[in-house]
Amino acid sequence: MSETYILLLTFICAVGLVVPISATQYNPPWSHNYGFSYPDADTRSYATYAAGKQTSDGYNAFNLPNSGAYISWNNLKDDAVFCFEGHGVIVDGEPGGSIRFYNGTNSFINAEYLNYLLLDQGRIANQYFLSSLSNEIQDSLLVVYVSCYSGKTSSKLGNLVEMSNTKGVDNTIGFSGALLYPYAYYWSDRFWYRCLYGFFGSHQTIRNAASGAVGDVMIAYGNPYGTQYMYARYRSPYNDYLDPARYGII
Amino acid sequence: MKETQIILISFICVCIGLFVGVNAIPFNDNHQRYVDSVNHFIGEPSPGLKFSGYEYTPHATYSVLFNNNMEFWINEDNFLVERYSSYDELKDCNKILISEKEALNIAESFAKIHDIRYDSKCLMVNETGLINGGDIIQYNFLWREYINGIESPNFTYISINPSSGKIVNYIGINRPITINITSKLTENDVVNIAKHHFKDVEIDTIETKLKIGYTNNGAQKLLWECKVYGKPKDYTLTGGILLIDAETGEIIQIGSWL
Repeated sequence: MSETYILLLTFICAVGLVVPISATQYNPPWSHNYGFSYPDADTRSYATYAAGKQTSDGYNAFNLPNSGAYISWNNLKDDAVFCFEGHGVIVDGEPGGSIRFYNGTNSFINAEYLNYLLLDQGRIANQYFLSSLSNEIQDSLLVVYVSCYSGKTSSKLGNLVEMSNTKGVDNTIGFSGALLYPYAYYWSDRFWYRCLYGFFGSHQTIRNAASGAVGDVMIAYGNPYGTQYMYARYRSPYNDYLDPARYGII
Repeated sequence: MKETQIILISFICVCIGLFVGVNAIPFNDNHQRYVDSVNHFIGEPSPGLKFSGYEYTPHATYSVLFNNNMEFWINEDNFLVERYSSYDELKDCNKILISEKEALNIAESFAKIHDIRYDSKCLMVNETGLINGGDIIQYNFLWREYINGIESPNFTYISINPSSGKIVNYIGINRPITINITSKLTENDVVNIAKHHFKDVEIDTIETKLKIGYTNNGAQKLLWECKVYGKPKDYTLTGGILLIDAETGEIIQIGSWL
């Protein structure tokens, strides 16, 4: 092999190391929504509503009720929009860093592997760590965790909002405190509505829609019921819209 | 008629149609009163105001007007601006340049001007202060009105940009109390209802309070709000919230921790 070929191959390999490998981008872009019939709460209709609004926005919106975490994990890398409506996690009195999927058994998506594994019925549960991703979700436009403590940092499991942001998601919204159903889902419904129609019947930026939806809960119920602890990271300069349907900026 | 004239007339018709269509926002007869309300609220004429639509809550119907990035909710019954949000003031909300005391002074001054019953409300210290929301950090202040120790539906809520000291959100609610505010249920009755409802929950604590709220059909009601905190199960908080009719004991809303 000539010296030229060796140099060329070395160059190609070097480029491969620094240029990220993107996940599949579909047209229309994918969005996935997850709601659950937990024994103590049924969140499926809220995921359905979110999917409906995303469809109106031009996404290929999937609504997958009662899914296990592995389904969401497989879809996540191809999603422009991800929406989880369900339970957050508290471990030994310490909240945050994980969301709980339920399809009869529990499975989890956690923020970070910090030498801690969650159990389900005495066995190590099926669980996934955002920290294990390289660049698969860097083209995500929006991730929304409507769950308790999804924006709170746990020493055992990390912080879902911060880890999503670190992995390149353009806009991630969670909550650092405890949330109450159904008030949190009123926030969710209003957020997705506002993304489409919140500004004078036209679309509103993701940041403004999220902030406006907190006020919507407050004025409707006289109490924000935990939604005031919204914790979010937005892509600067904070003027992203949900529409037109697209993937995020790499 | 020449072809040119036909094309010209068609063009004018299309232009008129488009103009009427774009401006055919369904203002009702009260439009001028909405505009006057907003002008009174902000203290100066606001020429760019546009009607956006109606919003419905259990206690009021609102007309919503926008001016640039400012949102005004006007109560259809009393024509007062009861909600104001300025989304432009979210700019630089991630820098803290003013103290909580300075922010409180700003909020109090604003509330005194805009809320007709501000003096009857007391600052809720536990629900006040700096909220770290990641890229949006705000000072939130909440005042509530109590009547004979019962939480009324009347409150003032203001959030402040910690960098500029500008008002980001204002909500001021003042409703007349039209119901008897004597509860037939005791606190003990409420705790027993909650224990029965959450019988599968290993309960840590129960918080109760008597409040005046609204049913989904808009009726004012005396309610017991009961929050149940249970021991976590499957890594999840257990328990939740009940709203109980203080006269009949009927549970009118059930919620869970997420």
